[in-house]
Amino acid sequence: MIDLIINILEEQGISTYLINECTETSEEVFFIRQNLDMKRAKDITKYTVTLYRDFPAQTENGSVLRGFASCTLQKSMSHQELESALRNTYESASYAKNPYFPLPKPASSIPGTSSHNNNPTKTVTMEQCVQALFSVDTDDTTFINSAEFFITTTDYRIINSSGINVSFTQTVYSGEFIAQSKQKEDVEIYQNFHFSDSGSSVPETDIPEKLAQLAASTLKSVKDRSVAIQYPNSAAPSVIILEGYCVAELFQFFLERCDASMIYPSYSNYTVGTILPLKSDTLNLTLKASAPYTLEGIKLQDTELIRNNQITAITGDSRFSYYLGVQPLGTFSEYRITCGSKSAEEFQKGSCLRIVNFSDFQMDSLSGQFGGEFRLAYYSDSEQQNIPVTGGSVSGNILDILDTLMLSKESFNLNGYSGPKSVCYFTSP
Amino acid sequence: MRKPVDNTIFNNIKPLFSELYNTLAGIFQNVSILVESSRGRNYRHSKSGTTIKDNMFTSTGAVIRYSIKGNDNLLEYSFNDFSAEFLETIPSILIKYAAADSRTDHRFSNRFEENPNVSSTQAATANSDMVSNASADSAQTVERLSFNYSTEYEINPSDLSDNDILKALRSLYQKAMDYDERILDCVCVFQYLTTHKMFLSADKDLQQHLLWSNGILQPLAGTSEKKRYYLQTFSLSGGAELLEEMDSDFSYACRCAIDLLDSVVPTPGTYDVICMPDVTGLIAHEAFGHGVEMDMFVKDRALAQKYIGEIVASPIVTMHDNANTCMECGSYFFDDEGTLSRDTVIIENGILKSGISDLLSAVRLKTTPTGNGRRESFERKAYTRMTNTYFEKGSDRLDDMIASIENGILLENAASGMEDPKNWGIQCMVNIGREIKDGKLTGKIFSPVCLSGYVPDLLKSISMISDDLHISGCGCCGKGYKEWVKVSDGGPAIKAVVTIS
Repeated sequence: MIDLIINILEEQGISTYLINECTETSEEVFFIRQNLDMKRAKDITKYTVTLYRDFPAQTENGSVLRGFASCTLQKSMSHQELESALRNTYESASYAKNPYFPLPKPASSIPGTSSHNNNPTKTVTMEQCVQALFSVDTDDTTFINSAEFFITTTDYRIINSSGINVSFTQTVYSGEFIAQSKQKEDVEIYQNFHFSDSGSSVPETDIPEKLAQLAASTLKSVKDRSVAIQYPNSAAPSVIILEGYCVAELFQFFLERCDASMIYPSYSNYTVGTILPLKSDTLNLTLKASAPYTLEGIKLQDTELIRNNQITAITGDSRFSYYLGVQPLGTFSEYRITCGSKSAEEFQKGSCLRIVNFSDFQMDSLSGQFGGEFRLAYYSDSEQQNIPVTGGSVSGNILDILDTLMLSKESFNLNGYSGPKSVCYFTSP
Repeated sequence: MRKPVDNTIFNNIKPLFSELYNTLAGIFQNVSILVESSRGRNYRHSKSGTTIKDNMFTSTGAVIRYSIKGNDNLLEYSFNDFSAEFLETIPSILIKYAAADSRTDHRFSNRFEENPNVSSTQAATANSDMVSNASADSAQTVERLSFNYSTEYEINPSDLSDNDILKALRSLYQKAMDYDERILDCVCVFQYLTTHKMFLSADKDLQQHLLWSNGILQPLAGTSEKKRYYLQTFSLSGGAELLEEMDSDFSYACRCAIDLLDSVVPTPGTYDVICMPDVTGLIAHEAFGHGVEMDMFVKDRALAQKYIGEIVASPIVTMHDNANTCMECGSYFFDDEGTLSRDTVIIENGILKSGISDLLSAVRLKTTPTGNGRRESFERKAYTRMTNTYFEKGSDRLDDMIASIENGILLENAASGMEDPKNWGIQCMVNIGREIKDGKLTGKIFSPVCLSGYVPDLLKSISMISDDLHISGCGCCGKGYKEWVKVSDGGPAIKAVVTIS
């Protein structure tokens, strides 16, 4: 199919292109309690073709313009349909003119060659994942209500007209489950998970064990939520501790602010050398390569993004990176943050609210506003310690809390995040 | 002059799939095939540049649902190779897959029993105006329900050149940039999707051809101190006629973005509020939309199951989920399990009347499916999903509603929401709150506004409902954090009491 596409492009005189082939097979199982409700399988191949068209004769401010547009193709399309789709897409490219940018070229170490990961077949079975999750589901009043598991193996092939021709295979283990407790109130907590064979935070063989741990901790949380009392509106904690995956969502702010697509239109003013105003702790953030290449063919490598509170890299695709004059590093979904020196227990001074589960934690990368309603938190003050509470909410701005932000020494890893399990900040008086 | 969406796209491949269906029906039971071909474009212009790409829902493929004879446990197989050679191999693939299923599924319990509520005839009669009003060439038979329906449009986006659409977006961008020097950027988006679906089963041979369009204007206003954006959305079941509507509304979006620069965070507390239609829609969606999805009933995940027939809202509240007579982005003629669409009254005069249901949940619950079994695409499982969800309009004037509030907030520009069907908690993020003092808007803006609380408390507090209705559907709805489907929601303006944090 790729040869066919390239032949048609040559026939049509199209010389600048990117072709992505993506072949996906999946196993999917859906449980209600521990009963299998449905099984699904998937066998899909998709082609996305992006065509580029240069306009040296039509310049704005003396620069060459590059138009581009993309389309999705299907294996069973006829030759005539393929010709038509590619011709139309090339025509579209002439209307989406942008400042010129070059396509990525092959990494110097492996010019024009293919690369596969070392372990293209999955080593963990669906049965192992299912059994691991349900291994901790042994209580009649606090249990797994329902669960979904997906094991998806995807073969990627990326070819562009600048010589990139690479392929790799990735297996992703993902899903979600609902923990329910009838200990007192009948309540539930939602939890999702996402691991991959090339992910950095959890080795593939440890995935079942990690799933069991995640289920156990979620069951504990839902049990606490069942006996939690309504959070009093009058409470005014001086210390807020955010714990669990909301910490990752909070730090996502920095990943987005350091992306060239945010900086180019001035939505972010970060640049290499920008110092973040943390005063109570030190932030060190390393981006982890969760795949060998981006879908543009940029070779992904572990990259230090923040060192000692200072921005050390700007990420992004080839287009916006070129506009900013930085090397295209690609876009990352996994990252590691160095833990702090204090335990979460040491954070708990005075009146303190430790939030472990939100309805939907929101982080706006433009304004820095974050917050949401929490489903489970623990409140402490001089008279009581770690009282489970529910139904309150918090909000704030990350730019306002950086000066008091502290990172826990306890670590946590989930869904590509690895770093402090909790962070703490002081509220304004 | 409105025209129907082309309904001939499956003419070439239908014989192949009919043959495949007949072969599979001889081997398996409960066989159905859903074939999908969804194509559309996304055009975007902003300070970052111009892009043209496929709509995120662009997808072509099919899903087969079946079970082994003597065992009602359902299996599904999704694929997108439509070549005759591949289709010939499908029976052997399904046999192999089914054999693997019977070997390993010790946990599988048989939950399927005969449900007298789920017959094709009944599902067919549940359908109403949308089918009868559609431009169609219908060939309904007693034995096998058969139709081929299309929605309509004024201007088919695919008949316009890319340049025409981008010219319109560039013009909007320039108008926004010229509006005020504090406008730093304006993201202008137009996208459309033409969805063609064919459903084949023992008692159905259905086709539908739908077109929706969306627009976004997102001006960014800023000073050296602060940057804020306003998201104005546009939608319809139709085509590029939407571009005209976008052109008429750009100045409001720009003014709101600038107003937001002076916004402050509201003091937490309980307030009388006026929710404008987009916020009303968000509440409808989160409160008793997700809360009555009946696949949640099957899992004992929804409190609403125990409250059918009970008072859950103010007696002036009536709420619908309606893919059938309400023409918006969530409209269709049949769902992804072949059940015909309908108008479901969820709350009538404050009483919870009915949930919404996919086919399999209805089988388990022994209820009638409501045509709400939807898939993100042929690649995904069908779940109970909303369509167009809204409150009915009332009889109050918006001015009177504002005048009735001594100290409160008018809420507009819904941002996001999250439901808790188990405990009826609700959280809605709203971009703009306008202060009301002594019955008048003071001009003071609060942002962001997070409203939360207990759903029945909120719905029972509704004391006034405006006499207009606005439904829109520019966003997508997820199940948890995945399974995105196109929905719309809305209603009139409502006056209620909410907790703001």
